[in-house]
Amino acid sequence: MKKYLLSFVFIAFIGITSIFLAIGPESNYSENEKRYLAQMPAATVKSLTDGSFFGDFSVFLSDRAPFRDFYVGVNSYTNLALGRNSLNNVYFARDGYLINSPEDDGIENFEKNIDKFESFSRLVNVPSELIIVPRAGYVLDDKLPLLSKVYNEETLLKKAEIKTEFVKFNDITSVLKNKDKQVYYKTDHHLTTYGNYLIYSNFSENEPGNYEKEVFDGFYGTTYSSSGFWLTKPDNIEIWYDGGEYTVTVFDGNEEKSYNSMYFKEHLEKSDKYPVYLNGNQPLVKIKNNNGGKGNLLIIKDSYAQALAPFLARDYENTYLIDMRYYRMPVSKFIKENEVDKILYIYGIGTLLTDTSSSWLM
Amino acid sequence: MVFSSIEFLFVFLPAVLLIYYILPKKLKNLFLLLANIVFYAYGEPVYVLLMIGSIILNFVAGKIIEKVKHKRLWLAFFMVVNLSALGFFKYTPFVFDTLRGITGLSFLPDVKIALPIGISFYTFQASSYLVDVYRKECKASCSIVDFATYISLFSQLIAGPIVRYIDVEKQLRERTHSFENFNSGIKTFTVGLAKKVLLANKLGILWEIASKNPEGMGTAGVWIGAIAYTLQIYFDFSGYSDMAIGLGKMLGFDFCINFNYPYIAKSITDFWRRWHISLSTWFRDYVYIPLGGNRVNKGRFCFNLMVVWALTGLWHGAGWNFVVWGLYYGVLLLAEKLFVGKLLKKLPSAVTHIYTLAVVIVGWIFFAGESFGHSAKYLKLMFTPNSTPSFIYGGIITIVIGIISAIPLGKNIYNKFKDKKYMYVAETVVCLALLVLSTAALVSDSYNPFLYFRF
Repeated sequence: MKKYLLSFVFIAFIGITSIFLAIGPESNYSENEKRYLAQMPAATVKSLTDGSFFGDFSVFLSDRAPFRDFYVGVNSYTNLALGRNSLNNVYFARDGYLINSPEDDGIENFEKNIDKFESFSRLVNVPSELIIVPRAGYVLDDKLPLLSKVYNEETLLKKAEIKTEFVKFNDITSVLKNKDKQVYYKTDHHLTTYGNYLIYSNFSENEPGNYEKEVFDGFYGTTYSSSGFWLTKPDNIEIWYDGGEYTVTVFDGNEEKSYNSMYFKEHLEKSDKYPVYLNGNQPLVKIKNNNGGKGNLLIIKDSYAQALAPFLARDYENTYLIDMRYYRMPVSKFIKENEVDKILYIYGIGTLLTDTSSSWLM
Repeated sequence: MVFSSIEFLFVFLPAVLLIYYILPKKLKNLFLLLANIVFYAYGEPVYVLLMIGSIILNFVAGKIIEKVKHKRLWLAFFMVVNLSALGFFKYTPFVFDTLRGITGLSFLPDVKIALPIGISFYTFQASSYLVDVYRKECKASCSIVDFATYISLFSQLIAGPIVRYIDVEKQLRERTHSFENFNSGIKTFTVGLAKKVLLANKLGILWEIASKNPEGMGTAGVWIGAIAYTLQIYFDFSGYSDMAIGLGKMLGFDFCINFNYPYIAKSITDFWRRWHISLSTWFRDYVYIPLGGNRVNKGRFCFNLMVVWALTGLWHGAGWNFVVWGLYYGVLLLAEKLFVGKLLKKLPSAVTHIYTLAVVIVGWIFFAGESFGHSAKYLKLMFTPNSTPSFIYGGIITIVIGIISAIPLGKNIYNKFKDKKYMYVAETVVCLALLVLSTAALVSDSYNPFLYFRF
């Protein structure tokens, strides 16, 4: 009988998996994928005859597959062993870095966004500055694996330079390049607190402050979640306190709520800790500096601004953050009502290549 | 439904095996038939009726051909019906496209018909059955359940092998279910699954990259793409055949092998004895020999060969590139039969091997290409020096594993050790590893992080 061990193992394998499939996962939400898992599709005459039911059912099943994360990891590392240098568009880079590969060029969209910033700033006639955060793969090109694709940051930043006149374009590449300390997270596409500090020092006219640092470990960001390279070591995430007191008012689209800290530590409990800064992307965030500061700054931004804004808040009386992907009211009106003295556009290059929400700027 | 999917491996297969083995002998075929219909209807919910229609028609046709006087006439009639259905569903758009290209007929509509899965396979099985009944090589089936089970058997329904009725006639009525068969079926199935999921799919990515932008690949990159496709199509097709044969064994059937290491062939004639064997035999037995085969004068022999190969090409797909691909092999086989064959015997085997592979790789490029222009351009790039490095080089490891898997090395090692005492443990470990890796690849297909809001 033991000659037929394989038969028993095979039956056990498919049998147990099918039982798990029938029971389904504990939660309908996948923490790693940040999405709700597919639901059982409805069997209607239409969905059955046009075949859409079967496609949906197939997705439903693989979403419920037991040991899903284990399988995803096994698949990622198998591919790595077979010579792939990336998985799900994330490079397995040197020194434990997981870096987004340069996908879709979207140059036209990029140009449209820059043109929009320029024309909007002219319209409202407020001094403006533009900071574009290059992708990690461009700044840390020495970390990239063999045979990786070319990042076209140089062309893009040059274009931004040429297209801006009223808006002052601030190229921060040299600020970030060749630093001994980590400027990008290894498991996430964002800049570290230190990286943001470098940008702030370059941007601000004030003397840099003294910071008290608090370090949290176990941060797994987006590139980690996408890649399935589960054995990668987590990042540390740091909070730098400048000693000031701030009142933060978050408008989530429905209501405004005020807090007395820029840091939302409940996010530190989760594996993805980046939303600790200003509670993640929100349509509108207002930071009031209770220790003074001069003038009112409006930041029009994507998530790269989250970790930079706490530094900037020290310099201004009021710092406002508007995320055009969620904010649907006339920004020019907001500028007038709140007496904005300066606009800072801060975006990751990836957003400018793909996102079209700047067309709502008016 | 396809074998390489979660729904097949972990829903359909366990359910079918469990019920199949619980049921008494008498009900096994009826259950298999139901399972086949579910298998087919999953993904082809409407065309399943076409298959059922074809089954009933051919069952009745077999009875009629067996009984009537004018057998030849009736056979011809039913063959026309069968082939018309195949022709209508598979070739109508192709015919219209071709006609529209002729001046004066451009007014013809652009017809689109979805191809019913497996129609090429089950039509050929049914046709072989009718001819065999006509030739009195077998009796017409007495049981519609058995006959329907034969035509629709899920294991070979979608991608072959093309099983002849006379080969499984007895097994349909009486077959042995043993641990021995079940165990060996699992091995064949698992190897087939791994061929499809772990090799073919990954090689397919390389070919996709290379064929999308061959200019950017450099000469080495273009070659990697071409070799990747050559390996992909073999692992894809033979993987499906292995899975079919393995599943058949798990259910007590015994099917002939369909691929026998085609890429070690030393001539084109040899290659086609090793590639998709059940199709080549079908064409030999039901087209080539009835036309007179090679026992005719030279002119007629050439004609016969070309007809068979034009049809073989057309069977693979409705497009002129497939016809040309078939004729390309027709011409080469003719050359080998007439004079090159003698020459090949004198040459060292390394030379004949390279000749065969070169012919096959060039053939696949035309087989795979979306247009002649694209294929010709691709071929030209393969022979234009260009040292641009490309990220496709990372595929080398996959290619090497593919090449090693395409030669009988693994089989030879296995045969050497298969009688050793603890071989069953090694077999189990290897198969389980292949299963887990294949499942990992299938599950990961749907891994789809939604991270937009974080940017």
